[in-house]
Amino acid sequence: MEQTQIPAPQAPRPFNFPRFEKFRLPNGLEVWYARHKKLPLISCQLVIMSGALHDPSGQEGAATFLADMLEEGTQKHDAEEFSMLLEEKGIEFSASADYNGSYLSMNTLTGHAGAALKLFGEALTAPRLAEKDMERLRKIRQGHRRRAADMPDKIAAEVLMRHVYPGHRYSLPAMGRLEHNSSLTLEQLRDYYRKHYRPENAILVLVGDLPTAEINDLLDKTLGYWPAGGQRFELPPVLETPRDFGLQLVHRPGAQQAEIRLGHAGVDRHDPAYFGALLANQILGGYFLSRLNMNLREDKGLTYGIESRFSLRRVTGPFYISAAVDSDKVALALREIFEELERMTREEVSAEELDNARGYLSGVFPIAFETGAQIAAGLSNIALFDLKDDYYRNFRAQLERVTVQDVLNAARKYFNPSRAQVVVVADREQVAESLAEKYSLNISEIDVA
Amino acid sequence: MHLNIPFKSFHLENGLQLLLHHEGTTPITAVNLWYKVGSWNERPGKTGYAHLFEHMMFQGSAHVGSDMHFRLMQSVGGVVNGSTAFNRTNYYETLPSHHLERALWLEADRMGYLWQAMTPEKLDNQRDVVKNERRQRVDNQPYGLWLDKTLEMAFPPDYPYHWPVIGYMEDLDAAGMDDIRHFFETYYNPGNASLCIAGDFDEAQTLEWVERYFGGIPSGPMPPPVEARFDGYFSGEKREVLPDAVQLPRLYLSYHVPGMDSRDFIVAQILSAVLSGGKSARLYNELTFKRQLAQEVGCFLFPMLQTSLLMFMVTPQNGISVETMEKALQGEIDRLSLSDIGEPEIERVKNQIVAYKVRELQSVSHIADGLNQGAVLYGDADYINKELALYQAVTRSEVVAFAQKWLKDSNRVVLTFIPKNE
Repeated sequence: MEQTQIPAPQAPRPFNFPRFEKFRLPNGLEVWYARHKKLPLISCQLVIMSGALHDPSGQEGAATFLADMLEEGTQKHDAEEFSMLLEEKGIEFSASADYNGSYLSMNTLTGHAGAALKLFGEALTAPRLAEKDMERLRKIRQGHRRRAADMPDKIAAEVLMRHVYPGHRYSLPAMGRLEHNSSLTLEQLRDYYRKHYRPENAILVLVGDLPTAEINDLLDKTLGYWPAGGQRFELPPVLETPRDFGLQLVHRPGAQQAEIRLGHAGVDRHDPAYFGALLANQILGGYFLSRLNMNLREDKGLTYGIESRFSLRRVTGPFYISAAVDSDKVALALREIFEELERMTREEVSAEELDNARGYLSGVFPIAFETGAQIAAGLSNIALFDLKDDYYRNFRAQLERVTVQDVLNAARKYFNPSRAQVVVVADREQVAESLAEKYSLNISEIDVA
Repeated sequence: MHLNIPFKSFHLENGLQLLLHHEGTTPITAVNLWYKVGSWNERPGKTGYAHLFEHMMFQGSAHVGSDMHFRLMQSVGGVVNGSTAFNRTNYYETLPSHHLERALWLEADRMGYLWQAMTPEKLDNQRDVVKNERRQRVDNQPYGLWLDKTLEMAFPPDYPYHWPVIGYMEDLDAAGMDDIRHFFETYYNPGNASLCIAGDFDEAQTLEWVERYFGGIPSGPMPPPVEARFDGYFSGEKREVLPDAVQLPRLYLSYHVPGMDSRDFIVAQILSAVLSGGKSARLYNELTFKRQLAQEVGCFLFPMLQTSLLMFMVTPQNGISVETMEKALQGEIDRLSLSDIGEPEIERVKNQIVAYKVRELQSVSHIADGLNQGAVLYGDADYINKELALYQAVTRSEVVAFAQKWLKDSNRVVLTFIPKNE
């Protein structure tokens, strides 16, 4: 009976992250280019090595607001015309920022590369930054802030960061709060732009199918006039995070589920134990086969899905677990979550669990770098996190070296249940009693605008 | 521009359709299996079963232990999922190409031998998971009931688009083992399915595997056709107001339009892109950019066979009344019928579609899904290669004529969410 045997694999075909070239334009802008021959497309991302972590105090949201403004036209083309020029050729263009950096991204058919890069260069080097556009976007951003209160997952995520990183920039959302978005001025955005949007603080990543000489020529014409200069900036360190366990219950009247977030400070990507921590997280809650998912979803049916993750940031970001669970079983869910977290620090994982987790991360590797845009994102990560050029080429070999003992060591170092901050967003009437049996509760109303 | 995605089509003796598209740039392969069954095939009182059944397909089959499907796929880096829609259910995995045989074996086992491994405990567990899925996606979300309410207003109670794909809580509670068995025996047959393999593989070897694993599955009965016919066009406007725990009101206007298997649907897609395909499209440009009334606005089509809905969604900015917002949106809808759509707008939309389609080709899993969509919903796998020409043939006057015919008040339902505390 053929059906009774699990088929054996064939011989794998080799694959690796592509090699890339580095060169500089005469103005000092560093360019990383990976040739990708498959379809007539070009993916391009300019990484500014400053983001929300560089918002001046009291001006939280400046980096993301400025990024929004970079989509609103150039000195030559107003916002309406700028969008039209892009969209009439099917060019995708966007600007954004997070804690780590600021990004201008573009994707175009190769046939429009010249026109696309010209607009890209204008948006970067000669943005319009007009008062009326800022006032228009301000209303939209204020709307986003007000509406955060509608969304249980957003409330939970934001309240968790307040309690994990009190006093640090991470305690506020990257886009700032309503008050910041109401008070930021155009002059403040211009200051941020003048200080941070400079060639020495940027790397341009490009993936596509054009000869290097042609790329060089195109970039020279479209970005070559960006004046040289600039510098990289320090990042604000996290000085201290809370040592004591805490549980916040945010009362959301009429909630149909309990939204849970719990976490604490996470891992530095450059720590030698990083790959052990990555695998420890994978086994705990990083994929469907993880302990948390198999226990809370597949065994107990408490949730549609649960996951844990290390949020990788240039200044160490958080480790957190997230799930939406049955309100009447929230105490059981928390008990199981903590049991799984503690078990990771108590005993070695099985060899099979480690093999599965490693097999997943290793096997998914070619799927993660199938498209030009995915390769560009990989290059941007190397730039942003100051990783070695061969980081991805060695990624699978690094995974291979990790032992069950390494996983245990990493779990003991990076999972700290007794220091965890817990946030539950639910209807108080449905959850307070069962939670109070085990935890001391700080109950609050929704306050996230 | 002309797209050419080469593929080969085969049929096994038991009726299973097989589509192969070879693309070996990256050593990965997409396996994609569509069954022609969705919430369309359900009945009142038994809603959500197609989707609940999809969950059961991941719970093991005769030769695959209860959590082995995910284990065998994820442990080698396979990216696995399934989804249920109105007219179809799909299962798909992308994995390193040297593990292709494993994926075919798993798909064949659950197509042929699922029922032997089914238990009431598994059903109870996944019922709880799906109820939590519904809470997370619908009941605990702002404006979460938009789809339930719109479908209930737009379609009569016994017409199978009346209920949402995820179904109602009380029906999920009532689902029993007999229902699961009925679904499996009625719809999960080779003749009601299409298997597409795209990416890196050896053709002769793959054909042999498909025959080996799927060839022995009995063809089974042909599923009964759905007899329902919708005739509720232009039957008068319906309106409902729903208070919700939200900061801003929101409007949903849904017009009855022909289904996705019609030429009109192609025209409707061009129309919806004229309205909401980017920042230079009309709705954003007029309502958000120029008049600064809308926090967000969009227009989209439901992918449904036989009949469909063209939906407008708009959230007014803080301080803008829902009445002002609706009037402004209505102005944009009325403008469409005044035949002022310009050639450049149509050209922009067509260029955006070309770029979008080329971007989609970057991923073998998209190609596999696209080939199967053609095969199952349009009865023509080559639809993927013909689609672009269909869009490119649409004229300005067809778009205007579509708007004049279908975008009438008597042909729509209007759902308004208002903040509870107002």
